[in-house]
Amino acid sequence: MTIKTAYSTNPDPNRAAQELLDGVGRLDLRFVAFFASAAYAPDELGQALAQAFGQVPSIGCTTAGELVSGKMLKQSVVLVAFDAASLSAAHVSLAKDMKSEASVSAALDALGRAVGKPPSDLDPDHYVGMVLHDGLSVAEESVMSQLSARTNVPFVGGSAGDDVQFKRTQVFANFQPHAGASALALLEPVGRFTILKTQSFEVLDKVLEVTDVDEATRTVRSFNGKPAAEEYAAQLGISPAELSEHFGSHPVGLVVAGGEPYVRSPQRIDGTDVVFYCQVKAGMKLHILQSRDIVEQTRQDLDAKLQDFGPCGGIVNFHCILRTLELEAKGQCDAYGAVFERVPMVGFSTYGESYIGHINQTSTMLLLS
Amino acid sequence: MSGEVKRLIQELIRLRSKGKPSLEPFVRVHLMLNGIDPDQYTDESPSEPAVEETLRKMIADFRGASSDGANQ
Repeated sequence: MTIKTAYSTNPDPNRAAQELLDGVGRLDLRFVAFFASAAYAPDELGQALAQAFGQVPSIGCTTAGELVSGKMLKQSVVLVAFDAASLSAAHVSLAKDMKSEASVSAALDALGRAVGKPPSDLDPDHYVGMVLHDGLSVAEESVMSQLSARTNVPFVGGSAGDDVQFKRTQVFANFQPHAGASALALLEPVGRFTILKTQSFEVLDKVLEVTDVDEATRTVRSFNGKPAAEEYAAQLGISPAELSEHFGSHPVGLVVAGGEPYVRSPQRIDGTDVVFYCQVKAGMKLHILQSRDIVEQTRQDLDAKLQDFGPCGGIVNFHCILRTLELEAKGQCDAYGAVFERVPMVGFSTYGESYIGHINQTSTMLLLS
Repeated sequence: MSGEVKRLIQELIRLRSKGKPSLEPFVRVHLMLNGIDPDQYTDESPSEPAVEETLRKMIADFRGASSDGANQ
């Protein structure tokens, strides 16, 4: 099986595309995924990659930083290529309007038609999905909820970034850039595959029940029947004025069976409301989390997964920008990159990760044998 | 009707699992991310029309996306 990764820091899209093609070599390609700095003009990059890679099915997106085995990069484009020995087939579709249920359904149905089965009949032991969203859409939850409602095939992915400018993010389907859209790929791996979602938090015994929320704007008005920011701060034993300084180290999580948190990261305080990077629902009981060392936790979780999974041919890593910012602040980027030196890996710093739903502050990875 | 939410959750899990117990955690997380905690509901839980409507839509959506949906 061959899964090849490549990267380029050449600012010229045509030269970068050629370097990527040279980097992966001449393979019988079935699928490529690429992640590019927003410094590249999306139209020019898409054209250059299409010229280099031809009709190979592909999805991609703009990023808030790129990852490739052993390195965390900026102002680059990274690419992973799968040959016929690693994927028997790959199919790509586009939900042109993420906010339209019909558009998302049509994109999923198109993938089903490509393999001759309705989405709910697709066997999750044989197929895996990859999904990339416009990261400024505030609509990822709706897309992920529909995908997870209509098929048992897990879709893993992330939300496009724009180098932390929060102005314009784009996804690519078959090298064509789109805004307000989600790019979907249905992959048929030849060998084994698995998903690893890792986050670096301890679950504390402090619970915030969502008692008033504007789900559409991801804004919580009250926790435990009290103004949201005041109650969040009180549970941490700090003043509301100090709360935002603790968002990175103490986000909240929806804890599922087995004690695993699905992290919901607070973004900012608006009066006494707390605005989140992903949706929370009325009635959710959210545990306050305590941060741990990202590098060490990632290493432990990856070691455990690889021990169970066996030889790994490649990893696609969807890595939250909040983790990247913390790694940068602590000078741990090289140490994080080193965790992946043993396996071909590409990924990017996201504006949110996708796995069953829209989540935050994880590294969510697709591993293939 | 008491216990209706639990019954619908069990129906959804049964429909989606298709004899594969490994799929149940996927469905349970999907429900939790949509604000429905399966463990909160018992046979005695009072009716919650909004939750029941959400669950019926999930069941209908999955059946609608299935080749044998008309027979389920």
